[in-house]
Order: sequence, then structure tokens, then C-alpha cells
Amino acid sequence: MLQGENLTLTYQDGETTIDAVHDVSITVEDHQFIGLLGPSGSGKSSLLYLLSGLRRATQGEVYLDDRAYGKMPDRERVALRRSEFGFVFQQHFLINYLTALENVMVAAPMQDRAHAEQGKALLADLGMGDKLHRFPYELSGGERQRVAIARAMIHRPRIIFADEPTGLLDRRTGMQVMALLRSYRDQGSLIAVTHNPEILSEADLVITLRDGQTASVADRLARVTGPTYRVDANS
Amino acid sequence: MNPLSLWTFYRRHKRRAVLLLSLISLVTAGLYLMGALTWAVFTEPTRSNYMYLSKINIVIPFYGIELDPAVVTQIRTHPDVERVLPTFISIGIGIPEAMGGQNNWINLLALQEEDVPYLLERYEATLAEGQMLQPRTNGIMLSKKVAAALDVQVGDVIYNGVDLRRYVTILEPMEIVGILESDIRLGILSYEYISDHELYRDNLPTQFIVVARPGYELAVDDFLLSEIKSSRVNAWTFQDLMADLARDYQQTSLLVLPIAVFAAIAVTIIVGVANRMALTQRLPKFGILHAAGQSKRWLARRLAAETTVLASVGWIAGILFSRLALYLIEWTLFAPRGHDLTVTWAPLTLVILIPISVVAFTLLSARRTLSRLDAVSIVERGELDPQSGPQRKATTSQTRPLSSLTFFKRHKRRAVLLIGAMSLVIVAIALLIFVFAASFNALEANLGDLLRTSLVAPRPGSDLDPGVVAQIRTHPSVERVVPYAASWLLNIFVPPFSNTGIGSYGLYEEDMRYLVELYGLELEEGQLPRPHTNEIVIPEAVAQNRNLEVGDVIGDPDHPAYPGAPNLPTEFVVAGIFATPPAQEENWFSFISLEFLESHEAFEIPAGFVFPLIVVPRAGQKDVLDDWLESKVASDDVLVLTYRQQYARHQEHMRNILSTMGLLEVVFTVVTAVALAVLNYISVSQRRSELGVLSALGHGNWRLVWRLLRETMFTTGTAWGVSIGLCLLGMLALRSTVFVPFGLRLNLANPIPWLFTLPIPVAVLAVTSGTVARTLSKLDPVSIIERR
Repeated sequence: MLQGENLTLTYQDGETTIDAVHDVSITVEDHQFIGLLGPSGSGKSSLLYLLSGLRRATQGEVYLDDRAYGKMPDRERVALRRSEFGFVFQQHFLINYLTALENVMVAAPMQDRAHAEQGKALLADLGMGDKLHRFPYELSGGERQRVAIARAMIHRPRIIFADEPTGLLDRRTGMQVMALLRSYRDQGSLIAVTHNPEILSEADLVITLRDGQTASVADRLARVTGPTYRVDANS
Repeated sequence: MNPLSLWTFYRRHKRRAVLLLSLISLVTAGLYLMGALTWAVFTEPTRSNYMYLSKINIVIPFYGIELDPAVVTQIRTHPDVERVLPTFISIGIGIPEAMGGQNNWINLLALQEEDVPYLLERYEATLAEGQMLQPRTNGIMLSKKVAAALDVQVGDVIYNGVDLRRYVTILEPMEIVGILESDIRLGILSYEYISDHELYRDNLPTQFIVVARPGYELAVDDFLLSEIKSSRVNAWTFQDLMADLARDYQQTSLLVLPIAVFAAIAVTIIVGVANRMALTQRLPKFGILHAAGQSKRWLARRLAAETTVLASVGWIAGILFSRLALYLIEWTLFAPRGHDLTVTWAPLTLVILIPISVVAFTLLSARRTLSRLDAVSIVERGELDPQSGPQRKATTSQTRPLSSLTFFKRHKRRAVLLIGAMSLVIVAIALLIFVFAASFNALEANLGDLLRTSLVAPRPGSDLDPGVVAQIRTHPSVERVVPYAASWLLNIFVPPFSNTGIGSYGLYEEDMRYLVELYGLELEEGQLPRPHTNEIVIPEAVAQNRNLEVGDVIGDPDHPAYPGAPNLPTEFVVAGIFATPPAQEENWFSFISLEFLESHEAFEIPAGFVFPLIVVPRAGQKDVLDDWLESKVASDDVLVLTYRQQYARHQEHMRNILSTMGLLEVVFTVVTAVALAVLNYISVSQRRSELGVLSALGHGNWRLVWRLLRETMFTTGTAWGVSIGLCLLGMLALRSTVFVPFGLRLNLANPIPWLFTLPIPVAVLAVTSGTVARTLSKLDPVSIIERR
């Protein structure tokens, strides 16, 4: 279980101090799909960075199975990202001189034949079986994002963090990509950040952020029947 | 302010500009200094020591040949000759060189009383200290530069008992009576004293100084060279000196030019790769400029202009820096030791290629890259036009995508350029050291005659005390003593420059057979010299080196093997040739009959003469004997030559040369390390996105540092391997084309030159670790993901 308690992330923008995230708490259960929704600058990506250990919280604490990030040395947090988490970003961030399969292997726990076979199978499952040895510039946007998804899954992480995974894709491709990500719920949790509520239709929980704070939290039932819990941004 | 001006660009990219500027500047300075100092070391001693020929000529008949009085008259009556002075120039001084190494010989001029003021006036030399030379005295006048080089002053006494190596031909003490103010190195002593002295007078040949009338020096040079010089009469002229210097200069250039070319190629590649990486990084900006209406040609010219300014400023700075360094070296090192360091513009020829090739390479590379520039692709994707230009394709994937091999497989051109540049720099330095070390190793054979024996000889000009001989003979560690007479009949050419004299042992028949057995010498051809004959047995190396065969005559001035003649009192016939011994035992033994020498009047061996000794130790007693000889027998009047002592001296000479090379290597190591630091800095900046993503995916900073370090180790290691291979190939080629035909061994097992290949790779690794670690310590994956 991943838990963020009263998370605040502050940074300096010139002489102004800005709270990118302010006093947000969140719990992610195993095999849960959580959506973080909000407009640009609402703090959803910053919250994802806090939860994944890419940023240290200014205040509050993140726990993974009762292990507090704040008490972990950098080395351990980095190792956590490598072994427990997978990442999909808005831009694919594939290494352009590596083939699709090699890009997937970058995140494999061991770079050996067994994992290479696993990478091939994974790419085949994602419909990329015939493009294993293509370089990123030989692939379409949707294909690149599939490779990025395979890279996020190769080491069977407990949680996949997806930051605007469909942001640069057309709607159809975006929906396909989300379907692939959702399919991972059988193996682990998924936290997806987006400003497009459509792609979170299957989410177990959608947290809407505004100005760095939690504006609303809605589970799937609530999204059908109406909100069960609402936080006033000014309260 | 023009935002697109070069000045704005450099101001905003100071670090990169300074690094590239430093690189070009350091390479230029390094090459300029290398050229200037190499030429100074190899040509300056000859120039300085023989500059006295700028005012006079010298005519010398070969040993044992009297100059025909008709020839003397012919010279005297030549209309352009002002005076002809008798002289004796066989006494000389070895002047230690400023950069260390061997003493270089300067001939002292023995002058008659009335000729001294005449010649001093001719040289515009004045007495700066002390007094004028008095006739028939053991006084000597030296010019200031010679005195400074020898570190002597008025009142000092010099002779071979003080320093055998410097004053070997000064057999009796001579006092320095005057110091001359003169730009030319001069040493003057009394002709009357020499001609009266029992140790010199019998050897006094008729040598002459020929002084031309002012303005007719060239005409007299021509006259002496065309009408007087023959196979039996030598004429030293200023023209000859200049020709020798030009030849030395050319030979030295043959050594330094390849280094200059290698270095220019290396720096061109490094700057080219750096520019190319920087260009890739700046493509979005160029794309925007292109979209805004700037043509590709303008962009390429702009890049070339940036490089031209950097290369020009760096080049000029390098030259100024090196000239300043040369003046400092002259001021602090050369001048206080009485040496000149002529700072000329000649080394410009070595560095002229650098800015030209750097700019040309950059322009070509920029045109090639920019031809694929598509403004829309750049603005939209930050990439070149994906449809144009060569795009790599893969048929398989690597299991280890983050390995160095994968990286360089996908960046072949960069790898080849990096490896090529680094290899060339290593080869440029190491090959020169390999050649020198090979030369020194080959010369070790000249010490081979001391491997199993030691020598005891009187100081030149004195006799060996019979008491000392008896003491040696009866020492418990001595097996046998062998009397000998040494004659310097042979010389051997060892590339690249050295022409080394080889002593021939005059031995009694029985002793000769004993030494042949002791050293296990085998005759390749012919036989040992018969007693009482002018026969000689020579080593195979000399036979090959000088193209001699059994039956050839040594000492014949007309023999092509000895142009310029070896100054022999008589001729010797090659009776046999020794086969080359195994490498560890190699020696250049040459024997002649001592009975012949004793009976020949030209050698003037008096009855009852106590010969120098070859001392043979008992089995296992060599060290004991050498200890005893060095500590108890050696004195001012008794010279002891042991293998270890001569080997140590040989090594010291080698160390001196290698130290100079070491300085050069330091410069090149710094340059290469800076160059690689520039490349790494640009490379890491260019790969910031890749590294940031890997960091986000859980590859820690140290893991990334280690990865980049592995890549550098890969290129550096490969470059080292390639350079080793090239050096090995070069040395094998040198062995088969030069050393073997000259009868010499080339020792590739000497570890020292191999060690010289290491500093550059080690420095590159060290600098890379530092640069990469520093750059990655500031890596923030989130800022890269967010494209900040």
C-alpha cells in the first residue's frame, strides 16, 4: 500500500513561494487504478512526483508499506523507483539510439536472455511483436507510447505512474494506450495523471486537484451516482 | 547589440568557448614548443660550437698524412685569402648541454702569440676578465658562454684528471687565464706551449686556419671545398657547417613532422566532434533561425565563423604562449648555462595545419548536418528531418542495451573519431620514445665487452703504475689480467642520429683466443687476425652497418664505408666477422693484433710500456671484483670501467632524453585530458534527456556515472589498444627496414616506452570521472521530464 499524508511541495519561482501541492493525503491500495485530474498547474504532476519519490515533500510523508520516504537515503529511493515502480510520461522519452526491445530492456531487473524474451512477449502482447528492432524514429506516436508502457511493465512493478500518458496522442490511440495501462491492474496499481476525465472512466478513484489542493475525491460509484465527498478548496 | 553576433554567442557560452580555445591553444603551444626545443636540442649545440667557422676556415690533413707544402702555398697565395695560421685543434672540451644529455664537443684553437690579437679582433672578442694568454704557458682563454657552460672562472684548472668526460683531450692541467666577451663560443690556447709539450708535439699535425679577406668568405669557402678538399685533406667551412645544420634540421623535422600531423589530425577530430555534438544540441535554435529566414548556407558560415574565431584566437594565443615560454626557458635555463636558444618562427610550419584543418572540418561537418535541417521538424520535434539523411536500421536488438558496446555500435562515427584521435595522440608521443629507446637499447651492445670483464686504464696522458697492475694481478677475485691497446677504428650508425665509435682491442694472440672463448664468440666468416698482421676481426653488426666484407680495407679514406675517414695511422684488412651473439650477451667486440701495433712505428708504443688491462674475474666474483676496482683502484690517474657503472651512465643519458620527452608528454596529456573533458561535457549535456529519464527510471547517479565511465574506458581502452598496435607495427617496420639492415637489434621488451602510452588514457579517465560526476551531480530528472 502506498500512502501520502498531508503532502506539501513548495518551490521558489523568482521571489514568490508557490505551493505546488498543499496538504494532500492519498492512499493507493494494491491493484487500484487512481486518477489524478485537474487543469494545468493544479499540482497533479507534482503529487505524482512526490508519490513516486522523484521529489521530496516539503512537508508530510509518503509511506510504501510503512517505509517512510523521508527516512530513506537517496540510494534507496532510487532503488525503489527501479524495482517497485514503473513510469509512463507524456513524452515517450525513449532512447533514440536503442531499438524498441532495447528500450524496454533498459528497465529490466536483469539484462539477460530470459528478460529479453520477456520483453519480446510483452511487446507482442502490446501489438508490437513485428517492430521489436525498430528505432523510435521508425515508430508512430502511439507505438512509441506502447514501448514506453512495456518499459514500465517489464520489471512487474507494484505501481505504474503515468503522467499524461495520452497527452500527445490522438483520441483513438489515447484510449488504446489507456486500455493497455488499465490491463496492468491485474498485476499492480496504476496512478494516472491527466486533464482529460474521459480516460479515467475506468478508474477506481479520481482525485481532482485545484491549486495544489484536493478539490474532490470520487470513486467509480460516485461518478455514476454523484459525488460522495467534496472538499471546498477554500476550507 | 546584435543578438546573433559571435561576440554575444561567446559571452553566453563562455565555458564551452574557453574549453575549445584552451584546447587549440594548448595543442598549438605544445607542438610549437616541441618543435623549437627538439630543434634546439639537436641542432643548437652544433651551431653554437662551430660558429667560430663563421670567421675562419680550417684545413686538416688526415691522420699520418702531411699536408703538401705546395697546397699550403696554393692557399696562402689565393687572392681572397688574408692569412693562413698554423694551429692545432685536436684539443677540445665537451660542453654539457642545457637540456641534459651528452657533452657536445668544441675545438680549442691553439694560436701563435702574434695571431691571438688578430683573431680576437676578427671575432670582435674582447677580454672581459683576467689577462691575455701568454705564449708558452698552460693558459687558456674561454669565451663567457663556454665558461658559463662549464661553470669555471679565471684561475680554475681544467684537465682530464678533473673531469674525464669533459676534458678527455686535455692531458695536463691548464689554467683559465682570461674570459672573453664574445657572442661566439671560443677557446684559445698557446700554440707554442702545445708544440713544445712532450705529450702533444709528436701528434702535432700540420693544421691551418685560413682567414678570408673581409667580404670574400664565401669565395674562400668555395675555393677550399672545390680545390683543396679531397679524400685525404679535409676543409671545415662555414658553408659545410650550414649544410650540416640544414641536414640535422631536416632529420629532426622527419621526427617531429609526423607528430605535428598526428596532433593536428587529433585536435581537428576532437574539435570537430565537439562542434558536431554542440551543433546537434543547438539544432532547435538553428531550426528557428532557419524558419525565421536564415539560409542553411548562412548557418553553416556562421558555425564556421564561430570556429574560425576560436581557432584563430586559440592558435595565436598558443603561439604567443609558447614563444613566451621559450624566452623564459632561454632566460632561466639556457642563458645561465651559457647556451643559446634561438627562438625562430620555424615551428610555425608545425602548427599552421591546426586552424586550417579545424575550420575546414567544421565547415564540412556543419554543411553535412545542416543539409538535413528541416525547420518544421526542428520546431515540432527538435529533430532533423527524419526522412532525409542516413537513418540507421537494426535487424536485431542487444540484450544489454546500456553497455558501452551497444552505445558505440550505434554511434560508430563518434567512436571511430574519438578512438582515432586519442590513438594518434598516444602514438605521436610514444612512437618517438620507442625510437629513442630502441636506439639506446641497441647501443647497449657497445657495453657488452664489459659483461664478463672490467677495464683498468691510465688517465689519458699518464701511465699505469706497475704497482697497481701487480696489485690487480694478485687480487683473490681476479682470474686473469689481459693487456690491451684500444684503437678507435670503427664506428656504427644507430638510428635516428647517433654515430657511435667502437673500440677495437689490440690483443696478443693467446689472449685473443682466451677472450673469444670466454665470451663464446663465434666466427661467422673468415678467421681471427694473425699476429703481426694488420688484420682485424669485426662484429657482424658493424659489417652490416658499414657494408664491410672479409678482405675489405678499413682506414682507406676512399672506402665508401668511411667517408670523411676515421683518422687511422694505417689501414686494416677485415680478416673475420664475428657472428652476432644472443641478445643478452650482445657485444661489438673487434680485435686486432697487439704484436702488430707494437711493431708499427705509427702507434709509437715504447718498449716496456705498461698496457691497460682487461681484468677477468674468477667465477661468481664479478661483483666482488667490481666493488674492489671501483673503491680501491679507481683514482684520478687510474680509470676503472665496469659494466654496472657504464650501464648506469648509459641509463642516465637515456633518462635525460626521456625526461625531455616526459615534459612533452605532460603537455599532450593535459591537452588530451582537456579535449576529452570538453567532449564529455558536451556529450553529457547532449545526452541530458537520456540520462534524466534513466535517473527517473531508477538508475542512480553513481550508476550513470559508472556507465559513462565505462563508455570512456571502452574508447580509451580501445584507443590504447589501437595505439599499442600501431606502435608495435611501426616498430616492427622500423626493425625490418632500418635496424636489421643496419645489423642492429631492436628490443621491443623494454617496458619504458610502453609506460609512456599510459598517462594519456589514465588522465582522460580521471578527467572524465570528474567531469561526468560533477555534471551528473546536478542532474534533476523531473526538470528533464517536464522539459524545463
